[in-house]
Amino acid sequence: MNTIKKLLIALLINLVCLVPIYADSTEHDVDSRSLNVMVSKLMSWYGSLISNSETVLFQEITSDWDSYRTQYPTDINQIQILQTDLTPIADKNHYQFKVSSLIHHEGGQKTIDDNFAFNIDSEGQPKITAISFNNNDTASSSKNESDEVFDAMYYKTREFSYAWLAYMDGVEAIQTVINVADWSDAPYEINVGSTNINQPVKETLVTRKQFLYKGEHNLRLIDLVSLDTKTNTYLLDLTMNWQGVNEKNQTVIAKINQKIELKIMADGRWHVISIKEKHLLPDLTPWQDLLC
Amino acid sequence: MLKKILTLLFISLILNVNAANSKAGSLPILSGVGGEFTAVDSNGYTIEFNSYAGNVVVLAFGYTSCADICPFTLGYLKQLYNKLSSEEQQKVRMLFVTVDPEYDTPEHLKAFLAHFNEDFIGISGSKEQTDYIVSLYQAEYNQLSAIGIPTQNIRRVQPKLFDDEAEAEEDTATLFSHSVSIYLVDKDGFTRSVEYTGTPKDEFSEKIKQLINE
Repeated sequence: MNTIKKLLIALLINLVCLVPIYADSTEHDVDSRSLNVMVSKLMSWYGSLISNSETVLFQEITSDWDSYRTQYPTDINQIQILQTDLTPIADKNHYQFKVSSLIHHEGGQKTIDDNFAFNIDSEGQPKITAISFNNNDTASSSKNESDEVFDAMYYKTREFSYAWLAYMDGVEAIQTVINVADWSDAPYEINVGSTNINQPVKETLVTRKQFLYKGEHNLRLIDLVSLDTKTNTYLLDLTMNWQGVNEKNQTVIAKINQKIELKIMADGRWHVISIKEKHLLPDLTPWQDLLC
Repeated sequence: MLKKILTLLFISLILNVNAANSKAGSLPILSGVGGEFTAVDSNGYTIEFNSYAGNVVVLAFGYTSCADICPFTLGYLKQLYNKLSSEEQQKVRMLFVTVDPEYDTPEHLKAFLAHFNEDFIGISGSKEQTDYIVSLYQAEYNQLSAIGIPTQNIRRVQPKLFDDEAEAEEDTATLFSHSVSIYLVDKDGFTRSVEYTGTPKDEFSEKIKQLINE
């Protein structure tokens, strides 16, 4: 009986190992560029609701929603997103994004369900067209089991990262969120197998198209580590999957790790100092990491 | 009853793995896996990997003193190679990259691989060259023993040849662990699939044929 249990567990592990492949295909129902720009906007939305967020610079939320935002508590110190559900509406430019979150504020905790309607304009920019709000006063006493702090910096990290992915996917208009023009001369080094590219950001992004011509970046892992508090420098570590075609229109998949060194300027802007990118072995098979 | 359940589970496992591979379907290029390198082949010639351009390459890591997976892998590759027609075989290069270039000289690799198939090509070189090839394919190997193990206790299929019998008796080799993956590389040098000895040989040979015919 124990043997059967062990085999069932092995089978389960095997299936779990395969999940990324199927997860990708599910996400591809939503255009990844749209996903990245919408999530970046949502990160701005939630980050800017946090009471200490005045020290962190977020992309501007249009004043149309000022009255809506008054429904949230004013003294929020953390927002923990519990669940999201993204559904395309009618066509590829309209989406409904449901977000359930646990709000931590001075007075306690409460769960809130927001329902955003997005319209993606011709330049790929997301515009919030409607929001509905469900305030659950029956506060969940859910405890954050990880050590992660869901503060303004947490949301700024994600706002920047998703916007950067959208920019790499070709959404030029989002460069205003990440101020690419300010650091387009920063060194950007890529190692793809035996090929090394080491040029300024603006040039590397062009050269990179030999390998990754047209496709979509999907963020998988994100981490921000302080390098030096005096100089306000950080290391942003991103791991993402990419699927698309190369210059010769051949299908390509990649698992990409980027280490982005950046400085947070006095006015709150994130200024990239350097980027190092490496293409890793994509997560394809349960045996690819086996040693014998 | 237990046997039936185990068989069903095993089949289910294989089908799931195969389903995942089929999902990749069109054999996409795996960006950043593999690339150009310099090494020494089992004829003792310095080679560039791009000298195999125009051929489909099947590449595996191992070493001749391996006591477990390597003979099994090479036996698998032999059967896989035999599934190809002689015309197809001419368009395929089977590379066995040693992780123990110090022990696996080109001559020894050639004699060892000939036990499986004389067409198989051994790849060795300096330790730096080996480490570079391993890193290109994002594989891994680790030395397991600090002291040498008598090779007569490990392998009797194809002992290393020595002029002196006493030298042969004293021959020792180091043990390693290493990646078990088998890489399928297209005619342009792009890695297109990562397989292992659990891949049904018919399925693997179809992938090779697909790349030959591209």
